[in-house]
This record gives sequence, structure tokens and C-alpha cells, in this order.
Amino acid sequence: MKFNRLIIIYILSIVGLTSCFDLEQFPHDKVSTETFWKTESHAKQGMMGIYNIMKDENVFGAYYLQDGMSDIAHGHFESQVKGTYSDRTGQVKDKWQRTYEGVARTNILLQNVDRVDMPEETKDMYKAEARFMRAFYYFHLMDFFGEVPIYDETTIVADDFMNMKKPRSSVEDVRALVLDDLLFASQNLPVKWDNANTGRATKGAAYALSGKVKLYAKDYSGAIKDFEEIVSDASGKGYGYKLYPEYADLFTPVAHSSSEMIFSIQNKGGIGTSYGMAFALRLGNRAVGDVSGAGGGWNNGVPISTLVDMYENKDGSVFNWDDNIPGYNESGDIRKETFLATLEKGIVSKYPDRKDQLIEIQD
Amino acid sequence: MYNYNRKIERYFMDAVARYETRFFDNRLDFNIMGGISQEQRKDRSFSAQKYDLLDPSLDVIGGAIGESTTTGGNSIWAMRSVFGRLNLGWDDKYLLELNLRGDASSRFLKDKRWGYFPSASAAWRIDQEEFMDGTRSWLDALKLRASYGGLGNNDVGNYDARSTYAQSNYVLNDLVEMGLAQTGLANTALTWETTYIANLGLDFTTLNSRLSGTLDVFNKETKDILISLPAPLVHGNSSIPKQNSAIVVNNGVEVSLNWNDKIGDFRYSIGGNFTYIQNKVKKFKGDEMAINGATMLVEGMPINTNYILLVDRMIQSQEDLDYVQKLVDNAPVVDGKKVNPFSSYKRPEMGDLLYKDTDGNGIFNDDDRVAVGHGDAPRFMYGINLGAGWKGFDFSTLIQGVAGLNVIYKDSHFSPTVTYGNNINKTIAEGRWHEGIQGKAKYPRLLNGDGRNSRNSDWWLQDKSFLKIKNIQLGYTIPKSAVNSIGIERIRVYGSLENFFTFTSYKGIDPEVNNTAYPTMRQASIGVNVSF
Repeated sequence: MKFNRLIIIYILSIVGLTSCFDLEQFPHDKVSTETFWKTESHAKQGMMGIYNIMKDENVFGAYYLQDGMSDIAHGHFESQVKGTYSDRTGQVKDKWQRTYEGVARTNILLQNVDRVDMPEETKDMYKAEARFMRAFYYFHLMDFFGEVPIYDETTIVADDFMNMKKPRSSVEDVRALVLDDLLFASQNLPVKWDNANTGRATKGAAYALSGKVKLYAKDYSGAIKDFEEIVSDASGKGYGYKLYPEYADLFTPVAHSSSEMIFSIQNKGGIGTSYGMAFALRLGNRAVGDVSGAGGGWNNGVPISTLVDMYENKDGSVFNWDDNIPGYNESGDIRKETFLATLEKGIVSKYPDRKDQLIEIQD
Repeated sequence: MYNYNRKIERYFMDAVARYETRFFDNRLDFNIMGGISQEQRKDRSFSAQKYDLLDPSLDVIGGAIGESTTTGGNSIWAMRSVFGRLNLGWDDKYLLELNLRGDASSRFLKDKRWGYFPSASAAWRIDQEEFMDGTRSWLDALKLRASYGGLGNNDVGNYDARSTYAQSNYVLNDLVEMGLAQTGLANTALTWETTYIANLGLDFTTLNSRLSGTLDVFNKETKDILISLPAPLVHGNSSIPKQNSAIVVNNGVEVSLNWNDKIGDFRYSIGGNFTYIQNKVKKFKGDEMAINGATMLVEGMPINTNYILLVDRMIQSQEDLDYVQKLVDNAPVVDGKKVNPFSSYKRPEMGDLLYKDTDGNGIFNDDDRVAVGHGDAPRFMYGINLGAGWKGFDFSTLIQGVAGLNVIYKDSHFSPTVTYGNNINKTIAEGRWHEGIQGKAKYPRLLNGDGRNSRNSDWWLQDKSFLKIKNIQLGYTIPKSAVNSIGIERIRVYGSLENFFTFTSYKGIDPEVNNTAYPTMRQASIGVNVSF
């Protein structure tokens, strides 16, 4: 009797457990290493992930605010200006970490691109593009930190993330890596991409960056050689770089595909900052014109008059306040009188007497 | 308009077989059990949001015309287990139990998936022995227990063993171009965290069942503990998985005693329990320590031992300022130049804290931190419960307490560093140093965005010991004769107070929570129990 019951239980359990729950589980909302790096579109997606880091606020995303650390603007870099920053300051730590994230992403692509099913020459092009970006990130790191530890595709971050404690390499060694990457990039990148791929790194960008790296290292002859390659285009590759005729247009969206642009971070306008950089938000004013109430901007980077005064007159001569308003440079009273306006209930009730002259000067 | 839909499904399947019999004239009790089980948890969610309802009277997403967002998720976790148990008993005096279980979790990769956890326990009912016949008049029961066994823990993210890629888009030619990047690093070596517990215990009941108690001594060793460790920043930005990294040992003693008796109509009971636990990190990363805010992990110390600065004094007088000047004057000379001893911490001014130069090198910096205290878990825990009854009245109370816990209490509110958007605790604001203060200040001066006085130091260390009367209840049951006539079996009215009395020197809101967080609730209630 007891024995029979046992058998029944076992039969039931066998029936019940034939539908085994699967213990091999993969994330449903994320691609995992096992499923990635198979097709050319994977390679391109990986490449876009590398470019993406440029937009990080701590890498180049808020680069335009960098002037806040100089004498032509202020804002955003409070602790740097005050001299109270340390290696734990968010902006410093994040600059380091996020730029290395860019390096890590290029290394991951370099480690895996050979697994992708595509022609050898396409692979070389992807490697060249990744190495251009790695050079770009390392150059940026050198710019801010000087000596930095070198991690290339021989380090697999997923295995070694706890042991990445290399000492900083000398500036010469980092520069050698950067120039080596750029040499490979200049040999394997296309001169131009088709329209759909506009914005990716080109041969010209590799030469230009290489020239800039050499210029920073005071290797003037090397720099001249690189720059001349793309400016005079002696070998007739068809770079087609030239100054854009309309200076003001360079501050509008046409700029990033203009003849003057060698390599630029690609943006797309719209709401939010996912695909654009927050220029209007960061630089925009709190107040809009004469209308009372706050504008949409945060006023994070404010140019100071030194910058404005650095611009030349229309005829090319050096601008000097005294030429327009005698005594301006010497007298605080005259400066005050020149600019003083009165605001009442959010509306300007009195403009300075020289309003029209000021507009003329700025024009 | 926001719609959210989440569905959690859990499936269990068990098959268990038992066999029970007796041998040797019923003296040996034999009991065997074996089984298999599996479990799956699916967590699916979906949400949609759309702005700008055409009219406030509309109440579905279809009535909105603005921007919309949708999200959806699915996370699955599965586990399969086999287990078996054998119980043997001889004459009801000697008891033995053997267990073995194997668990496989989907959270680990195939070759690290299975964990096997055996355990054994034995008990000896001493009072059943013939030689104990003489004590039977006063000793009701006496039992000696011993056990040793392992348990597994797989408390990691469902996909921590898999490196994952997430969207990381870019723009080409004014169009969004999909990008992917490895945003979550995997630890492919993840496996079960195992805890082995050795326990020796004694249970007794005596004096006509009026006094009973237990005594336990235990040693708990947890291996391959899954913890998040900070990784060097050069790895980039991807999230770091938990790792099987440490061994921790917990040693402790647990005692509980209960007394209950009756004097005429008056019944009462008194019970108490006491636990002492000392934990220690046995294996970690050699001499290396992992510092996390105010605490650290290092071999040979309790988990999360405070690693903090000591405060020499708060600068409140000219004498103190002179002392600071003396420290500057006597600073060490390196490469022919006098070092500024306060270059990393800033020179203390009136109302600032002067830290102790514990390493004695004349320079004040993070190297002056020292280990303080016994970790972030209390070493002593105790509880007392009292109960009494007289005729229809009943009374009970529960008292709980912990001792031996010192933690840093300092957050964005309880701090002399003022930050935008955060209120400052009244104690700090009123006790702060300020110009023209009469007498001594209790806290440093308030500074905006300058954290020189809110570094982790013993100034902010507080004793978190407490004693709480968790519950007091008084009830009265109306005599049966009065209620039975109206068809009711029993009516009891009662009043109770929960969490009303706390005795502690801790300055936070509640010693049971950390920092400024939602405290445990105080509750006063009056109720009636009616049974028909």
C-alpha cells in the first residue's frame, strides 16, 4: 500500500518535471556578448557606441563651457577657478572615468571586430576608425592629465576590471600610441563617407589630428607635413577643405557639414539632450529680452566683455573703447554711465543715452 | 496620463517522497525523504505615458495627444534543486538528521551553476536516560544539540554573469543611428556564496515547567561572499558586478530564559533573551583595504569598521589658533621647502575642526584615518517580555535593545556643510560656532559647499545603542456569563502602544534607521476582539 503510493508520487513528479524551467537565461532588454559581434551592423552599432561617449558632458558634451576656466568667460568650473578642486571633484573624476570609457569601448571593438562576418578591408576600416577615436580620447586625456596609464586592446576589461592598476605612462609613450593609431587611421580611413554616414572619422580627420598632436609636441615640421597633406592635397585625394565664406553660419546647424569642418560631433536638434548638445540650455539666458520672467537657459557659461573686446573693428583695426568713448578705459564713472539702464517691473524703463552708439560699436 | 502594468509570476514544482518505518522492536525510528523541486520567477512590466489630455474629463491614454513614452521589461530567474533527508532516532533518546541539497541557479553560468549543501545534526535527550531518574522530580526536560551544515545564497542580479550591451546612440547625417555598448560588465566566475554553521545547544525545562531556557553557541563562516567592490576608474563607466570575494566569521552566544507561574488568580511570565555576536573578515584582499565612505573592509576587522579621522579639538580660542600656527611653523621640510600641513584639509580657522595627526608626520590628510569601533552591526542584542493576567485583565510588554554599535551620523541635513536644497538639522544650527558666540559651541561653523568640517571623523561618531519598549498592551475580557446571554462567545477590549518609549543617546530621528530616513512608526490603538 505504502509502496504503491510512492510509485504514484514518482510518476506524477516525472510528468510534472518534464517541463523543465530553463536555467540558461539571457537579459530580455539588453544584447549580451554571446549574441553580439556577428554582423556588419553589429560592428557599426559598436562604433556608434564609441562616438556616443564624445557627447558625455564630462568628455566633450560641455566642452564649450571650458572657457569658464579662462579669462574670457566664467561659470560651471567653480572649484577649478577657486582652486579648491581635487582628484575627487566630480568634474575631474568623471572626465577621467568617462574618457576612459571611450577608450574601453574602442578596445572592445578592436578585440571583437575580427569575429564579425565582413570583408577584411571593411574590418581594417573599422579598426582604423576605432583607432582614430582611441587616439582622440587619449589625446584628450593627455590634454587634461598629462601622463596617463595606457590600456589598449590587449586588456579585456570584462576580465581585468578589478586589476587595472597600471602606473601612468610617460607623455612620450602615450603620444607614440596616439600617433601610431593615427598613422593606421590615415592609411585605412576613406577620404569621404557617403551621405548616410556623414560625420564619421575620415582620412583628413586622422591627418589633422595627427598634425595637432605633433604641434602640441612642438614637432613643427611633422605638423606642417600633416596639415599640408590635407590643405594643399598634393596627391589629389580630394579632401576639399576650405574656409567657409559665411562666418556667422558656422554658428548654425549647417556648420557640421560645411567645407570648413574636418571632424565634428554630430547633433540632432529637438527636445531634450539625447541627440543634441545642450547649448541653448547651458548658455541661454534666464531672462528673455524685455519680457519679465525666466527664460529657459541656465546661464552656465557667460562670456565676459574681454572676449567681445578682442574682436577687431570691421576694417580690421584693433578695437579700443577710448577711440569710441573717450576716457572709457580710465574712468569707472564713464563706464557706468555708458551702460547703466534702469529696470522697472521687469521692463527696461530707461536705456543708456549712448544706446544707439553702443549698437553701432558692436555692429 | 500614465498606465503601468506589472505582472510577477512564480511557478513552483515539487515532488517529494517519504518513507517511514521502525526497526528493532520499534526502538529505531527510520525516516527518509527525497525530492526535487524547481522554481521560476517572471517579472514583466509595461508602462505607457502620454502628455496633453484633450480634455481633463478624459481618463485613458487614447485621450492624450502630446509626447509619449513607453517602457517594457522582462526578467526571469529559475532554480532547480534536489534534496534528501534521513532521520534516525534510537529510543527517542538519540536523534540524528542528515541533509543534502543541491541547487542550480540561472544566475550563474553553466559550470558554476550547482552548489551542494550538506548538513547534519544530532540531539541527545539526556532526561530520557535511566541515570537521570533521580532528577525527574525537578528536571522536566534536558536536551543537548549539535549541528553543522551549509546554506547557499545567490543574491546577485539575474544577469550579473552575462556582459550586456545597451543602447548608446549617435547621430549621423542628422538622423539617429543606433549604437550599442557594453554597459554592464559580467563576472563569469560568479557562484554560490556558502555559509557553514556549527552550533552547540542545550535546552532545559525545570521546576514543573515553570523555568525553561536554551543556550546556544555558534560559529558561522560565510565563504565566497558576494559583494560589490570598487574597481579602478580606468575600466570606464560600465557597472561592476558583485564578486565572490570574502570570508566572514560570526561567533556568538545566544541565551534565553523564561519563567512563568501563578499566584492564586494572578498569572505572570518573564522572559529574556540575549545575543552576543562578533563578526570578523577572515579573508579579503590581503593587506589591501576597500574604503567605502566612512567605513572599510579589511582582513582581521569586523565588516564595515569605521575608518575615520580623530578630532583633536574645535578651534574656539586664540590659544587654539596659536596651536594651529605652531603646527604650520613646525611643519616638516621637504626638498628645502616647508610643507603646508593643511594643503589637503585647509587650515582650520575659528569654528573649524582640527584633526589629529595620528601618523605623526606633521601633515594632515587622509592617511590620518584610523579604524574605530566594531563594524556596522550591533554586538549585543537583547529582549525582555513580561506578561501578567488577573481575572479578566491581561497585560503584556515587549522590550528590545541593542548595544555596542558606534556609527557615523552625518548626512546632508545633519552636517555643518550647507548644501543647496537641504535643510540643516536644528541641533546643528543652534549648536554651531558663530562670531560672538557666548561660551563653547557644540558644532563647527556652518560653511557653504565647504566640507572641511564634515569629513568622516569621530566628531560625528555616535553611540547607536538603544532600548525600546516596542509594545505595551492592556486588555480586559468581559466575563463570559455577561456576554453569553447575547449570543457572543467572548469580548475583549484592549489598548496598546507601539514604539512609544525609546531610551538612547543617539541624536538621529530613530536609532533603528540610518541617517535622516523614515523612522519606525509610533502607534497607539484601542480595539475590541469579539468572537461568536
